[in-house]
Amino acid sequence: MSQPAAAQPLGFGLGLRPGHYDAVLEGGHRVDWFEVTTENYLVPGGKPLHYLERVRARYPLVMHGVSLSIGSTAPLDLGYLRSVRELARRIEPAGISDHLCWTGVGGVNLHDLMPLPFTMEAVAHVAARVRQAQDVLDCQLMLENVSSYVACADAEMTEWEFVAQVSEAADCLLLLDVNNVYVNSVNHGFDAREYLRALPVARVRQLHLAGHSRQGGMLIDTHDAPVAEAVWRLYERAVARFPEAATTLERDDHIPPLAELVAELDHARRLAASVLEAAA
Amino acid sequence: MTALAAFQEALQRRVLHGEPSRGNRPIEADIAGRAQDVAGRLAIYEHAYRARLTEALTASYPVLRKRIGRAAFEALAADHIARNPPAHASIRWYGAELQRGLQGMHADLARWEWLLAEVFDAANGAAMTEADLASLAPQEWPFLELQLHRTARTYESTTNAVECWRAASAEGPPPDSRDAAPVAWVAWRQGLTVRFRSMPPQEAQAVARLAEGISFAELCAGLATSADAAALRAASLLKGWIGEGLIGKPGEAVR
Repeated sequence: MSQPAAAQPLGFGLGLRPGHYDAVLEGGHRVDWFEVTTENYLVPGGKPLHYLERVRARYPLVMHGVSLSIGSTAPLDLGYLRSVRELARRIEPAGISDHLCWTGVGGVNLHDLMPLPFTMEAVAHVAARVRQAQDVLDCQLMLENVSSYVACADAEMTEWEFVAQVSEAADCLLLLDVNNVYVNSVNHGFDAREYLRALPVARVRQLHLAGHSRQGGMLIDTHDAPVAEAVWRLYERAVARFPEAATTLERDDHIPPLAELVAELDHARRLAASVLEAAA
Repeated sequence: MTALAAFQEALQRRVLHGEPSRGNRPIEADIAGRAQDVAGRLAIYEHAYRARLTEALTASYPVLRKRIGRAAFEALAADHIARNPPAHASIRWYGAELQRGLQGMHADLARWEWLLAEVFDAANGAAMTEADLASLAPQEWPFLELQLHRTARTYESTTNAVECWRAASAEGPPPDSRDAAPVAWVAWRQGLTVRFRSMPPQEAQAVARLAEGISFAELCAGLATSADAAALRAASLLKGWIGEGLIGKPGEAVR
């Protein structure tokens, strides 16, 4: 099995959004690579694939899916996996990622990243499916921790223990969403630093940064705002612990001009550089 | 059923139906926290589900939304979402059946918008060119295989939906909805550009047969007129179609 994400450090990337296609292709931006939402390109042809191939000609890409539903108790969707594999053959991504969650059962796709109970049963279930998916895709998957708003009453471990155990049992990679860790630390009342300390360093290959919003006492992972100050502080700790991990900045709503996101990505570069300099 | 499966079914049921369902194990039993807090936390998922699908329908039906207004569109979306949980891996394909909840011009308009979206990201395909015909010997013409371009879709309107769509796209004044004599349309993609136009009845019949794939001789035979006139008419239609990129390159797999 190949390990595309480990081939070389990717640096600092942005989530590719259709409104930025032309600006991206004009070039000259300080972006090392782009993360693309896999499902947006599982179409037969036309503009999405046209632009994807042109961006790919200039930048490394990572495919980031939202519908793998790796934690679902419904059968793994092999048709979906094969279409992901076909797209991967077409664009040769530097990695394939999705989320440590489930998106539906009984033929339904809720198009949301639903939380898993942190139990041994779920660890074993997810790990077996990750191995199956990795066999179909012929590469190691990167799984991302998700934001959650409910916690299972019968949890047998913490979220960070769950993430670490799945990655070890499945022999997969991790995409650590720093914003999601922060959001969950507020929503569920835990110490985010403990979360970072618990994850296996060698498996964390990418860090995600995004904005959130507040709704009453809860934080919602809305991806519609700049990265919050508290998340930047946690990001510095994440860079110190996972110095080899690439960084991605995501924005899915209220999307500003590309230059504005590049400036925010520059901020991540500066923070990471100063953390790594201090550690040297 | 395993504990994990029971948890997922109960949580999904709650998201889909928006309230604790009778006769089933409530998800509240599985969630940590005080009852009041748990209801609020579950509501985040319930709300996000509906908001995300409404957003997907808005993206697929922008003109319909503009035409009927935000409140009516959101009511339509809510009704559709309640009856049609999504199944496809990509949210892009959610809402193909939205027109079933509509009538008259609005139903026509919804079908038209969905069709244009299909054309937008249909499979790429090369179009037949005049150069493909230049090498044909006269005796080969009857056997020339003709197939509609992969991206082409046909549509019949019985209202002024396309006129309304055009007006909305051009930010022009909205015409009144009205029924109209049936008009056949064809929409297709030339490169990345979506094109469409109406067709007179004889051409519409020919294009409908092209969708199945026919030979030039069959095209001529289908034009109910004298043999010589049919050949001229067929050649004229073909020339126009090729100029528009409406015919697929010979030998390309069909969609």
